[in-house]
Amino acid sequence: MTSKNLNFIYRFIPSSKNSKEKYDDYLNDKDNLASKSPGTLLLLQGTGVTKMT
Amino acid sequence: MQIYCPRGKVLEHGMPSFFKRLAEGVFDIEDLKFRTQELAKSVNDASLQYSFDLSKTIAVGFSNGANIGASLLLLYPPVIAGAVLFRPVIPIIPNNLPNLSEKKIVILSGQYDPIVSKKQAEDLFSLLKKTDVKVSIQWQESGHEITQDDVQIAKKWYSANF
Repeated sequence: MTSKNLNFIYRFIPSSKNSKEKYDDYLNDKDNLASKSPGTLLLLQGTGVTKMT
Repeated sequence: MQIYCPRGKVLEHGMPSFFKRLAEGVFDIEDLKFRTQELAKSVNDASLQYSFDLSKTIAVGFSNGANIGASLLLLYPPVIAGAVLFRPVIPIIPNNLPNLSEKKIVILSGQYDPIVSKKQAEDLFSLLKKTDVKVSIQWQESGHEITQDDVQIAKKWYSANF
C-alpha cells in the first residue's frame, strides 16, 4: 500500500496516535463518522505498511 | 471510536505481513492458521485491556490485511462484528463453515486488479454467502489500489450497518 492509499484510508478512519492532536480534533468534530460511533476499528494493513502517517 | 492497529509479525523481504506466503497468491496455510489464532487472541486481550466491545469491532483490511480479516471471520468469528475487506481473496476454507448470520461484510474489489482476479473475489463472496452472513461485493473501476470511491462506499456501508 502506498502513502497515497493510506491517505485515502485515513479519510475513513481517524488519524494515528502518532499525531495525537489531529486525532483529538477528529474525534471532537461532530460531523465525522468517528465522533458518532462507539465502535472500534481493527485496522489490518497490507504487506509492507510499517506506520500510520 | 477507537482504533486497534496490530502490525503483521511476518517479514516478507523485510516488509511486515500478517502471514507467510509461499509465492504470490499461495499462502502457507499452517502459518495462516497460527497467525489468525494469534491475532484473535491479541484482539481479545486488547478488548479487555482497553475496554472495547468486540460486538462493535469492525475489521478494516487491505490486501494481506483483508485476507487475515477474512480468515478471522472464518476461524474466530466472535472477535469481530463485521469487516470491510479491500481487495481480498479466499484465505482459507475451514473444514466446517461457521454461521456468520450475525455479521456484516462488504467486499471492495477492483475490476482491473492485476493481483486478485474477478473470479477470486467472486469465490470469496460465494464462500461467505454460505455462512449466512450479510455480505455484499462492490466493484471498483480500479486495480489493486484503494480509490476515493472505495472509501466513500466503505463510509456509507459503515454508517448504514453500525
